Amino acid sequence: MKPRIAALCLAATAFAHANSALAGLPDTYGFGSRAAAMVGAVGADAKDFSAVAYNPAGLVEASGVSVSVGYTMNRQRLLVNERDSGVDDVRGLVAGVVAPGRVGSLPFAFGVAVHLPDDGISFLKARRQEAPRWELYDTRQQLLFLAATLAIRPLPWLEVGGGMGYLSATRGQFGIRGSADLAAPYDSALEHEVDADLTAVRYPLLGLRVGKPGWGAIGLSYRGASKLDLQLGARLAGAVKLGALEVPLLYALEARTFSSFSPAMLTVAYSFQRVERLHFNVDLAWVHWSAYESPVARIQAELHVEPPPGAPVSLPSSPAPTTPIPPHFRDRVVPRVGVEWRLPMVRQQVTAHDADVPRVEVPLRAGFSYEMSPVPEPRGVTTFLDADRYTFALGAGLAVSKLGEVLPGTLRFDVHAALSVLPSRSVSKRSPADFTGDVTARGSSAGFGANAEVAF
Amino acid sequence: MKRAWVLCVAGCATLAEAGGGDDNAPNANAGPFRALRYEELGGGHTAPYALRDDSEFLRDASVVDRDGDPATLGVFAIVARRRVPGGAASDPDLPTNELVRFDAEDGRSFVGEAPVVLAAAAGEEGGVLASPSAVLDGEGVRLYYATAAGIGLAESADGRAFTRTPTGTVLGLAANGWDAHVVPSSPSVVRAHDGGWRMFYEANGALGEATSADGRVWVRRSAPVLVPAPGAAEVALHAPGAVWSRSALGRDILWLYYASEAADGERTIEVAAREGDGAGFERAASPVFGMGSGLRPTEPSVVRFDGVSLLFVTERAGKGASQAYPAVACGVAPASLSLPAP
Repeated sequence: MKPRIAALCLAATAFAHANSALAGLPDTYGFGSRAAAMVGAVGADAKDFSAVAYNPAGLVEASGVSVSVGYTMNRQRLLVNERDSGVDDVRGLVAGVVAPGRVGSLPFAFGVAVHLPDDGISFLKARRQEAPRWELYDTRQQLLFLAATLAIRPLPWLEVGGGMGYLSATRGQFGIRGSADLAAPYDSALEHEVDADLTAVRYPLLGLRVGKPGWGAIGLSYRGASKLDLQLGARLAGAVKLGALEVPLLYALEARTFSSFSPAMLTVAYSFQRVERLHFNVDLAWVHWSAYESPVARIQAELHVEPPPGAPVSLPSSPAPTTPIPPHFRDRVVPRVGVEWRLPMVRQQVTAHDADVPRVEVPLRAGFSYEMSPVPEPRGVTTFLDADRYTFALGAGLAVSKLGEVLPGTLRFDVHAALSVLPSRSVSKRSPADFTGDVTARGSSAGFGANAEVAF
Repeated sequence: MKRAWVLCVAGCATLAEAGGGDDNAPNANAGPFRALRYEELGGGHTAPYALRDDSEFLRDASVVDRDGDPATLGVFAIVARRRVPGGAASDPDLPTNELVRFDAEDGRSFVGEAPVVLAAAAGEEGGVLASPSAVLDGEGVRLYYATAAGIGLAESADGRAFTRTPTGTVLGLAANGWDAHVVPSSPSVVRAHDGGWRMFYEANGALGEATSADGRVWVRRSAPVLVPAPGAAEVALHAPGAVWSRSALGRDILWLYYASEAADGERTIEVAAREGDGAGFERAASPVFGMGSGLRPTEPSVVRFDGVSLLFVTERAGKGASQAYPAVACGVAPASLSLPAP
């Protein structure tokens, strides 16, 4: 077991230093089919790789090393004034590894989880301030989720976990200097330089879980806030030549934007397990949306040109720096309810100890969540589009245990389907001279996914 | 100008597609406007100039949706020009003296001969006929225009042959008030939703409003509806152009376009709006056309269709010394929209 754990830790470390990024996928569409079928109401109940996202303390409940892989697809149809905004679908590979072990008498487990979007690893979009946007459903969902966590059980009734999620921020400079000859372009002498850095940004994932046999467990988890910080600079310094005429010019541009903000979240969860084979989960998540920063690019541009006296050239003035308007998002509490009933199909008594262990079981799952929109009515210059969101989910699975020496653990296969509805929300602009005009926003999303897990 | 920019960054240098989320963005279709491109304008015109004539100086277009149906693009324009008898050389700085009509099936590419619909008269009009404002009135068309005496009115059953109303000038010198003793000019007239009429005009570097129950007898409002912004570099407002729209939530919005003149003589087209006949106008956050062009646009006329609006302005035909005469340029909103070929 130990060499295997060491190998997994090394692999996770390699992932962790790959400067990858995170997204809001677990919050919005669920992470892994089991969790998605219960709309994420697994804060006190997740023991598989999804615990990395929901409550890392639960990892230590794993009975053996497990490897999970799956795929999720979420079709987003978001309408403004009854016309589709074309927000991208969210789809990609979901995978994770959980490796339990023991140091002395202390049980521990290590987990790593990843969501790899089909369309790219990291995606930023900066729009002008007035541009309408589905901020909660657009690029936030299009990033790689990667996190690695560790859990321990210091007391029989207490499990504690923690780890890090990773973001990649970008800083770059682009410069051109020299002279450009308009009459003889090949005689131009220009040099350029590009300097870009991807820097890692980390955010914490913490959780604890208190269990009482026969009653279930209470979970408490915290995820730190995160965002992508993009800084770009450009500098063009030189001269434009036209015959004997030489015009010095300098153009400088600095742009900075924050994107894909993921708010801090504190979740209290209870998994009621008093009834045999039934898990009834309730999660309440406080989401710190009021810390949301405007994603508007802060751009400063300057142009200095010295045309010869008398030249018929009118130069544009430098644009005024953009001053982002505070978005004033509101914190929200998100209730989630999930139910799982594990239906035993085949029982096999191998040993006396295994008398009641089902060899094949079929879990059936359902969930519901309500997410109040954190976005205030967009009556001013900015137009953040959003509406309350109701999500209904269903899922099922198949778990086969003890397939013999080849696979003494469990082979699981889970599927889920979810439907989210965003009821119509109409907003009339405060100023009749608003170029965006009144808006009515509504939408829906339909998602499905499947996961396979091998637990050794 | 596309100001949104997209950056795709990946730790392993994988480039994603540009991504969606910007389709069918809500837009009041009130601006900002982008000048038409070469491929968007037909009729032998050179974009963005829908009308340009260096001898008779076509200017001050009032463009009207011919059937009042925003689903169809057919329009006609009543345009002022300076006609010099005998073909003598004209001066672009002299007042216009004829109104002519053009038609366009695609909303902007005017073709064919331009029949004269009204010619200047001597007497109180002083041989001046300028700044037309055409309004559909049932089956007919009413045509308001500026003269040396104020605002005149002519009517037509077919939109081609106009006859002056017997009352002559319908809005002349005011005896008192904010625009006393100033000849009002550049009228823009719209029908109100209560069945009445609203006229906006220029006087004293500000924009005034007059109301009428029948479109013939007008009563001025006691104060201008828009004045130059205090503390700004703006020194005068010119040439209002009003147009109605209905918002996505069914609010009736009256948009008032105008030329804003800065202290250095530069002009841009700006817009203000109000809901119905309610409170005062609120200015939009930014100009809608002509920023930094140096072409001094004025006399805006906007015609709205389903999903797109076209703006016609009078501005210099170019920056060169030989282009120092007025022409009618055309812009489109939303600026991100590409018009199909004519």
